[in-house]
Amino acid sequence: MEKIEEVSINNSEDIILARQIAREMAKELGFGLADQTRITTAVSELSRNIYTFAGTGRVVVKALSESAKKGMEIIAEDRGPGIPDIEMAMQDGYSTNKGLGQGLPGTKRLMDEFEIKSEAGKGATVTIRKWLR
Amino acid sequence: MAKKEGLNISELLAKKEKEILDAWTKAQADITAFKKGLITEKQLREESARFLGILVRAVAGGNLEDITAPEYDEVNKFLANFSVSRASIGFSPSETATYIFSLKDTVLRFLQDEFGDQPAELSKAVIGFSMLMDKLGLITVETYVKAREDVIREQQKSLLEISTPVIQVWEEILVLPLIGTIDSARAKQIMENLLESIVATKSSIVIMDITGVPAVDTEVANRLLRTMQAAKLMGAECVLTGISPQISQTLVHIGVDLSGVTTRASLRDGLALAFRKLKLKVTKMEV
Ligand SMILES: Nc1ncnc2c1ncn2[C@@H]1O[C@H](COP(=O)(O)OP(=O)(O)O)[C@@H](O)[C@H]1O
Ligand SMILES: [Mg+2]
Repeated sequence: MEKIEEVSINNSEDIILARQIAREMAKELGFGLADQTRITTAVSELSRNIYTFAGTGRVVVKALSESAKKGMEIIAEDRGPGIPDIEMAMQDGYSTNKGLGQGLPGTKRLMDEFEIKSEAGKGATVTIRKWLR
Repeated sequence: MAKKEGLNISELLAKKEKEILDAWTKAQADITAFKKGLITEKQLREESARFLGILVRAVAGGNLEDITAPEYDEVNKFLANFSVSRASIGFSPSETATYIFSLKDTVLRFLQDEFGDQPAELSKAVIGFSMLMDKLGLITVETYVKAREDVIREQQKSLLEISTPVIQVWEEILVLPLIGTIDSARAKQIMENLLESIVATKSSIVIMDITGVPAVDTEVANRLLRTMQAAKLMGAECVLTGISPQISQTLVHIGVDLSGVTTRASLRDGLALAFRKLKLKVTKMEV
């Protein structure tokens, strides 16, 4: 069976659920403890951003298998207000919410690949990947 | 004998309802959940009789394809309830889906017996009926998964509600053992409790132990940092203990600055530090 799981984010407990699902899958795929923690934390950041800034959205967690590479992909998407200035949002310490402003730039550092798409008024989609090595 | 026009599954189901029920119940008797005694044979038979009746009515008009049609409302409703109750009494997903798939096998055998002399028609009927049952099987699995998620969610809620005790382990020393997830709602309560306790016990050292916290993201880290700042303003110094190497590494990576925080690997080390700061010494008694 293809490994893919989806969590819709509607309340703060869904953040926990998304995190647990990501950790489980990372463990199953053979990621070490350090990477499991990185992936779990990244998922926590993205789902929390959905909950905080968009209210609702969804997180899709899937196993990746490309020729020689194996890994994991997480897509966090919402139809919320979107991020007007992505460059700004990606800066360390930038927060419109009195947060630490490390969620997005930190997540990028924790993962191997990071893509962010957003349009003001149309929501945001963040895709991250981590490869097994 | 005059050959029937086409091949009517709904007629077969209606005609052989009783025999199918017998064979189906017998087929199900083998599954492990049944053996484990999660359900009695009588319950199983009654439930199966009810579902078979509902299914016979749904297919009566000849529709084997569109299970969103109104004649399938009862079938869908039954399966939804069925999966939820199976999930709650501890059936596994495959045990739950076996219910439908064993019915499929049973009916296919009856089709074979009845229409073995019309191979072309038979194979069409087999495919049609199989596809129907596969769709219904999927419904049971989907609902099962949703029901399990609800159960998990409920359990998490109760975890969130466990209150966080502030323990005075010695004069002027408080320990705050954080367990589980410290997401916003709980974090706020923790902070309030702690500040009140600092005042009430006139404590000067607070040990916050996060051994039991599975994940620390920037928001949780922020809460912890702010709690420590607030404690400092009340005259209490904070020691953060129980950070796993993975969490500490991840926090550094993500850019959370813990340089201003006193940390120790374990609660024990934190306690030793607290004693030293208060110029207390733990020694073995001479006997
Ligand atoms: N899903 C989102 N929808 C809208 N705005 C977002 C979203 N995610 C992040 N942002 C914006 O980007 C900023 C930086 O996010 P982040 O780095 O996670 O820091 P923080 O959550 O601490 O504010 C946020 O303050 C917010 O303005
Ligand atoms: Mg954030």
